[in-house]
Amino acid sequence: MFHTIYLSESIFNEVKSESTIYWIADNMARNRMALFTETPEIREDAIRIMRESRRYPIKSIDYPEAVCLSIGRMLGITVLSENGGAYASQYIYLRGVTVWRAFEVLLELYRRGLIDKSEFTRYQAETHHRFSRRDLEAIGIGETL
Amino acid sequence: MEKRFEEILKEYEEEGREVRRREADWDFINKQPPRIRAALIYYIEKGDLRMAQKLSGLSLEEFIVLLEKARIPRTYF
Repeated sequence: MFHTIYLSESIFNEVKSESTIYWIADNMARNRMALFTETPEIREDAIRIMRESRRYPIKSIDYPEAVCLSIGRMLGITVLSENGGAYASQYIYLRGVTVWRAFEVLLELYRRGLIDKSEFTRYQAETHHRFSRRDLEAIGIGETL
Repeated sequence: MEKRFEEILKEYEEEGREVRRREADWDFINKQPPRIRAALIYYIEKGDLRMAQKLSGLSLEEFIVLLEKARIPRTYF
């Protein structure tokens, strides 16, 4: 679905566990992931996005997510984020940015016939993340875990 | 912000809060030091991972592990 996943330095700097570092290093070695070094323009734009987010009655955006949104906007690439504020921003004040949560990634895999619906349940069990009833009902899965 | 989208977001938030409250291990949470307990309860009520992590004084990864120990599911809203 994606050729390369760019990982911003702000997000990378939050990773501490050895298993996650190993996973990132392995994917970088296979050219599936790449580190995205933030430019001064992106940093400034990220701060503007953070300020903008505080004007609305939804979760505000923190710097690491704002950087990803800025990169997504500047390069026209999909932003992958589990942050609800970042997800909502594309419908409110960041028109033109596409944000996908794990839910949208799984949905696209399902639409392409690469996974079946049970993967939505498995993902929730393995990650301790809950999808909303509304999202699950939209694809014909009535119950959350 | 469009009224309809605002209503949908509110619905998402309410559902998320309800799920977090229901599934949380309150015995575990109540045994934690005050700062950690406050951060966990903040997360349950608001669903704001980054703010809750800052309140806890832990790294993001450490806080996510703590959420798992407290059986608090992560939600989008």
